Amino acid sequence: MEAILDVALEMEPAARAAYVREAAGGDAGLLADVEAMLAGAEADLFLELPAAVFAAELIDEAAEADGQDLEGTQIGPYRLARKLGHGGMGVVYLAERADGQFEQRVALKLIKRGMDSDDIQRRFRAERQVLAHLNHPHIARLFDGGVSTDGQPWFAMEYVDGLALNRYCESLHLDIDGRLGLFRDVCEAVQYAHQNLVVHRDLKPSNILVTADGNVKLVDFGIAKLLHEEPEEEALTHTELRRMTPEYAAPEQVRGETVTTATDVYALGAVLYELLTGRQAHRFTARTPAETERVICEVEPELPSAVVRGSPQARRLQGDLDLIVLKALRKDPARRYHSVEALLEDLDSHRTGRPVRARPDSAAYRTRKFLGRHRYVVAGVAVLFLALAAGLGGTLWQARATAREAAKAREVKDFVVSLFRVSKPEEARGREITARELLARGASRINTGLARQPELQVELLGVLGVIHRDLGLYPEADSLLRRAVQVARATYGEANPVVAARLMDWSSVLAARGDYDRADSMLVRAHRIVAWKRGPGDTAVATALGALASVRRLRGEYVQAESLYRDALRIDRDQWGADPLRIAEDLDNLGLVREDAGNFPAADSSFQESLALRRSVLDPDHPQVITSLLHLATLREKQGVFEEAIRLEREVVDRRRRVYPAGHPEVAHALQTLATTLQIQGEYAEAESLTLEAIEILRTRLGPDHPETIQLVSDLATLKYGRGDLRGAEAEFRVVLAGWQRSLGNDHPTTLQALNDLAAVLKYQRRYAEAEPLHREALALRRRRLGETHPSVAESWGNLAELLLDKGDPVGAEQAYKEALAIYRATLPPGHVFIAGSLMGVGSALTDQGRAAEAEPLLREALDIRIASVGVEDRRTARAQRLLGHCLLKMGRRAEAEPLLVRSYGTLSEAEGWYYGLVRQQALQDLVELYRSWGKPAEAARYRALLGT
Amino acid sequence: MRQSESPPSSDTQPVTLLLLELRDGQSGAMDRLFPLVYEELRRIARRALRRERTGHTLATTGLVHEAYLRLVDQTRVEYQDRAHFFGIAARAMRQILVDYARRHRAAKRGGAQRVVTLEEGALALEDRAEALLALDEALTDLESVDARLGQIVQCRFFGGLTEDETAEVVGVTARTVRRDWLKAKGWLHQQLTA
Repeated sequence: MEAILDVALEMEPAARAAYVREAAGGDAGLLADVEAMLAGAEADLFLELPAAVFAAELIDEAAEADGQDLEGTQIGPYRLARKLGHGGMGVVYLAERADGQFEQRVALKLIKRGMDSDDIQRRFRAERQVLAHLNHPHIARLFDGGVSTDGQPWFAMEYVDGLALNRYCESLHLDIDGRLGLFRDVCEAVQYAHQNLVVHRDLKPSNILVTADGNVKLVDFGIAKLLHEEPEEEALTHTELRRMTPEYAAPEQVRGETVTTATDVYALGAVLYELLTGRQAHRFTARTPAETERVICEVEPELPSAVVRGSPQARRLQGDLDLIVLKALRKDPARRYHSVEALLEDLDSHRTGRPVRARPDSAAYRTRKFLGRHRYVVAGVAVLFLALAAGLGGTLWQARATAREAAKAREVKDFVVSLFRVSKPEEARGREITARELLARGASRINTGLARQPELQVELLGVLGVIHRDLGLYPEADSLLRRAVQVARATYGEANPVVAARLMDWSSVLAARGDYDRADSMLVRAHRIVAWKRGPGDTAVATALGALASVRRLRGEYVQAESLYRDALRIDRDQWGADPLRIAEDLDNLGLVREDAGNFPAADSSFQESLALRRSVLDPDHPQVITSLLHLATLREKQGVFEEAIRLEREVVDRRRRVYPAGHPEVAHALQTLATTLQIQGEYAEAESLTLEAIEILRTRLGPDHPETIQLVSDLATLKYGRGDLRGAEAEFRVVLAGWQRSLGNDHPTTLQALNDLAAVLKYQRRYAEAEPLHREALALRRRRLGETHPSVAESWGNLAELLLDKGDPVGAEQAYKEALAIYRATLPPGHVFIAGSLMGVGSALTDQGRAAEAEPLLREALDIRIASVGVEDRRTARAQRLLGHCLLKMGRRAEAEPLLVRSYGTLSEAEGWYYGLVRQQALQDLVELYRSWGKPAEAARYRALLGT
Repeated sequence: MRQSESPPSSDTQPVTLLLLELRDGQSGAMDRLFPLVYEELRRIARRALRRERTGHTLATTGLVHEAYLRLVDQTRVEYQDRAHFFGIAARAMRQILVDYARRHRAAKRGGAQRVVTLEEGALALEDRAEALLALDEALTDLESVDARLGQIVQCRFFGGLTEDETAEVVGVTARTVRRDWLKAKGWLHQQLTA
């Protein structure tokens, strides 16, 4: 290898590949190693620049820390405690009042030398009154300022312990709604400042900090103006340009024209652009003043949705958000939003589904908006009353505690009553208000109606969010619960159990939508909060542990999940006056994860105990009792007790239909469960119609590309395949394949399984020319993605081999089967059924080549394995018997072949399914051939008569 | 070099003498040279910051060369002494940068404090510090496999030396340096992306 590399590296990069391939001489491993090294040698590593350039900032940071260590020194009335950071303007220290008049921690910004300190001081005196009165929860207060004895200007501001806006969003993986929520706070702060006649002039993510509890704080308000070198008349100086951050600077700023509130609107647009796309609106090829000015003043930013094209957010950005961002970013200040308030209004319109102003209105647009807003119209009023009564009942009950709480209760009552009040009575005439309408009203009014009662707002947002979630209205639930978390944080601070509870609500919606990573990280935070605030033995901790376990289980981390569930169960059992329903839920969860892990007896005892607990306190129609039944049914099915499973599952479907509104995902899940069991039992027709109904529900509710929907279509395809509808199966597999390709990518293992399945269905239709390339593609991608010895690679080899054998290429088939066999022999225990399958493949390929003698020992081994694993009566054993009998027949050993073939046919004559029908036909043909060549025409005729059937 | 901007040249005596000792094979000369070079490089780096920020990165490319001009009396040394010096300086630069990166990491992890980011560029800083530390580890591994490859990376990347200068330090041809540099990159790439 060393030698090959040395030669290759002396060659032109283009010439290397050919040389290396020759030099490796067919040694694939060596070739791969050398190629990897060569790729690395040409890769764009950071080693291309000298380390001192690569790490220039690191050197700056360290050098600054070494050379300019002012910690402990006094500036104005403050003593510098510790450096917080540095940047273009100067250094920021955490400082405390040194005169001990009162305790105050501030962020003290020491402006870099070289600025005209007299001028700054003069302007600061002029502005300080205004700035000091900028009093807003999202604006860091400016306390003081002056010039140090060294002549350096300084400003003391409220100390904010937070992350820059963009980093905060990234670190929490906030979704678009989360980002918009924070951005809204930013806008409100800027709007407030504008009302007080202060323009920020330097808005950018690093001036917008978010504290650990999600609170937005704008820093440096007004500072930019104080430092401004009044370039109104003249062109921008180089230093001025450097101090400004060109990514967020408006055209009027680079041109040195008058800065107004519209300048901040522009910067907000640039910040929003970056928040939504992860990329800055403008990119600069060179940081020269001319190039900066050209880009800012002339280049139109790309549409945000185009930047993230192909990602899940793209559709979300298309339309409103694209228009809003670009309107804020217009070059001409007069054509932007005329105020931050107008920008805020459009964002709110977008959130609530009303038309945004950023688009010229058209009738079609307004109609689309209206329809979008009323997607979930009209359902039973009862649902809402039940839910509200449960949710608010709890609120009211809790509210009895104190007089102050009583006032809260009145507010809640007023709020609920207001939901029933119709603004235009004529609209309501002749029809009843539906539950969905009430919900929608509740959702839209809760932000304004209870704005002065944030604690109530949090609670009701939570209740409404959970109701929406339970009705399967995930997008609405998501935005309500996100808002609940936000308001809770603003009201209580991060480390509060209320915040934790809302985080858990929110995460349940995220998990339901398949966003496990974000759900997991929210739950980890929620658990930390409650364990810290309530102590490790509190039921709230058990709840958090259980929720976390369920997400881990969804991710397939069964061992972790089981141990978390056990912890939760232990905490709940240990409570004084333990709640049987809580314990039942813990038991269910524990049972489920045990079932996933294959421990059926343990799962069974968990489910039985849970069902007994629930029946002891609940109505038999109660959804929780149903849940218990469903768990047991699924387990019975896995244990192979199908009649019992089907009985339980039918009961579940009936009860679910009674309790949930039509089209609810839970109904779909119940249908899917029943259909799967029916299919296994050969009840294809009913299974298919139930699956179709379930697919329709999930398509409508979760969308056609949701993993659950695609999985159901895949079930349908398998079903059609199972009953021999190969055309139908083919069509469904194509849908499945396209769905996985869109949602998971082309080489995801699940996508490749679908590719493989489609090829198999084509093959059984004898469409070899179409099937073969698909099998080969699946094989190649699997080898690349999963490695050479993965069972799926063996499966692909086997499928390809089967195809080759069927189309009459026994030599190619033999090779491919041998590849599969080698993988199985290397990775599976001896005697595994898969080994038998490949042995049978190699055996029949050899028989077809006229090498029956070589085939015989392989087929005997296969038959032994089959008998040992599934018994002598099984149809799979029958297939092995038929192959061996066929092989012996080819060698003229009729007496040995006869019992095998007779026995095989005997078993297969009762076998279900079209595939074994094919094998049965083959066995019959063999029998006819056997007796014909044996000179027993009567026997031959008897079997020939059976051939037609 | 930016002689005019630098403070008066420091004393060239000690380093020059140590280089001569090193050439004579005196034990301990290397150990005494290293801290002197290390300190001088740090000083230069610190001063580079105080200079006008424009063109700042240019100033850092030639740190090793500047240190040589400042520490060594060129009238008294020979060709091979310069190679010795560059080799030591490259190692010192590596040590300095790794120390800085560690300090950066420690500051980030120390308690709940968060650095207020004032410049967008600081975003990548974290990654750069981590990349340097990962490279340092991989390079140590590489040295145990092939010391020459390791030394070449140390000279080219950390020392910022040219191919010819590196060839002098390592004692091979420039062509070998070029080839081994690619080989080392291939190796490091595999280590760092694994």
